[in-house]
Amino acid sequence: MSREIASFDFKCEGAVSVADLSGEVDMSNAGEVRQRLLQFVSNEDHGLVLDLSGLSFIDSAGLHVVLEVMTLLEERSKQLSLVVPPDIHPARTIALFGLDEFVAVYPDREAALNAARSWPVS
Amino acid sequence: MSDLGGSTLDALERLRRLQSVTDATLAHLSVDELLNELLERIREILDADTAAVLLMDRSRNELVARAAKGLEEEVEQGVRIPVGKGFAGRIAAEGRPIVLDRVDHTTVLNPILRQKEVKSLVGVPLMAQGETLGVLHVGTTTKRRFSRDEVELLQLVGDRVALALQARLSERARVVIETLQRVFTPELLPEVPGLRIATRHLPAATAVGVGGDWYDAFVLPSGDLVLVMGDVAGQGVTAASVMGKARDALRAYALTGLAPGDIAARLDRFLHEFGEGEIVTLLLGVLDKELTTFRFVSAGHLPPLKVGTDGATFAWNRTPNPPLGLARASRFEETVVRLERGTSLLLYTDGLVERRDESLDTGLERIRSVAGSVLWEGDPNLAITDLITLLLEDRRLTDDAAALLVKRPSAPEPTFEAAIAAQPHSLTGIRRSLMQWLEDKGTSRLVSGDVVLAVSEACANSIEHAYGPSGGFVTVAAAMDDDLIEVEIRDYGQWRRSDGWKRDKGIALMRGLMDYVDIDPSETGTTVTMRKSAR
Repeated sequence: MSREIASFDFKCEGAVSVADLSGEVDMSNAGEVRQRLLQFVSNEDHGLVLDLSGLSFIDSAGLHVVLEVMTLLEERSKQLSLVVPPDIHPARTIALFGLDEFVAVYPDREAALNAARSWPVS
Repeated sequence: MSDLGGSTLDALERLRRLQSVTDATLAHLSVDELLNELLERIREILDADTAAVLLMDRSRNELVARAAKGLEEEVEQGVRIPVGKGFAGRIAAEGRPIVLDRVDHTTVLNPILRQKEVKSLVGVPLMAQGETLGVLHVGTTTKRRFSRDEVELLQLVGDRVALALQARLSERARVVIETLQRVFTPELLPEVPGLRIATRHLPAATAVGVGGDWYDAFVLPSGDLVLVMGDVAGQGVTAASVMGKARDALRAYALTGLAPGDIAARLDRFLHEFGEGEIVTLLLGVLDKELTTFRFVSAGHLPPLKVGTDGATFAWNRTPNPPLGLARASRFEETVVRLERGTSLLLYTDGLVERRDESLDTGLERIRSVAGSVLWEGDPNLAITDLITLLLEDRRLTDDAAALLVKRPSAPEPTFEAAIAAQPHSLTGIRRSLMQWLEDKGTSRLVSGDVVLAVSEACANSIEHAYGPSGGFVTVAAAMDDDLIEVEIRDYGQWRRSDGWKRDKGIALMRGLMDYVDIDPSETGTTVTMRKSAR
């Protein structure tokens, strides 16, 4: 990114990839966010938990990217879930956008990881 | 008991006895307590065995036994006597005293009087202000000829009873009417961002005048605002109940999304069928959610006043419509008024305008000039108070009066202005500076977050769609007035045709975040205007 407004922290929890995405996501960095997320998920992973706890802003371009990532992972038979604490503004954005109709959203990381344990092997 | 019979009552004695029925200690009694106490005293004064009061039930044109001494069964059994029939019925119908020396089925309808073996009767009408409220009669179980003096005395007593009764009945009616009016007046006016609403309802100073003025204001699911000012052309509890029916029926019709003229036509039929024969004048209008167009219908009602910096003008219905309840009009013509920023609309009833000693034109000219001088600036709540004070001067209201003022405040001066290059990387900067401005204004985190996101979305649209590779710029202006945040995002290019779902989702998001979103494309650029209440 030419000017970093979002940052990543990747790690693996067993067969689940966990990505912390913090900062801001808008049309200026949405493409790069998609790229980095897709690169990170390895072929052995069952799926990706995207933790947005540190996210202060996301716009519709950012949410479209989340949808694209979900679609591309599905094509590789992998799951996607989101960690969105209800008190951050992106939680409202996600609800208004209706993203939670497409993607599983959990209020904290533990809940998301618990659910991810039952993800099927791809 | 015949020691009074035929003798002339001494003037002083009469006065003393009369005073016993106008005693100040009776002032705080209820209707029933009062009647019981008075009957006891009357029976004593006239040395009679029975005394009874029957009250008029106007809806059935009958007299109903309300209080009795020595004839308690009459009340317990709820004896009803048709006006014009029998002893009491004739007194009520003829409005004069009647003396009976012989009580039998030819002269008296009420079997209880015969069973009690009442031999002689004298009765007087209870009249107040030309209206018969009921009948008062006394009787004896021994044969007796009531003298002219005694009849006169009973009539004097009856007049006083009638006055006391009328005061209490009208006080009770007043309580009922005021309760109805409270129930049917919106307790909370709708909050419409970009609009201020103030209302007043002034009941008449005299109980008789209290009636069926009402106003209403509510927002439809479409976002349009319905404004109503109505006046039932009657008084009393009946008028108030018709008001309630009209209000509810109107709300129901409005909810179906009908135009004002169609609502009026249906309400006209409704009142004709179910309205107790009352006539209703109505001003009914719909202000669209853009707050620019007031489409109204006046059914025999006084015209709304449009008030701007250049004074007040009446918005007359192009063709006059009859009042509602007659079911004679086949259609109700609508009229459209533009509501520019900085202008107000005043809806009112004739109680605010009419004075007995002058023509309606004089009254209309007075409200026009007063409205023009006090309504164009300042807080609507204070302005409407000024208006009423100036219109009424020190007069007591003889009729109800109601007023409803809606004001579209002038555009506030923007205190946030920025221009950004139409590039994706500009978005963070505009978000930060706008967020700072909102925080400085004391806006909550949630509202600030919504406004910043909506503005960011609008800017992103301009950046993505308005310009070619050579680029351009986008301006953002924001203003806050009276808890209303208004933002304007403007570009100077032309949006390419929508790429469908993606752009639509962005705009839907803006609409979800803000109270009002308008996108106005033109050849020289696109302007997005958005409003949100900071509360």
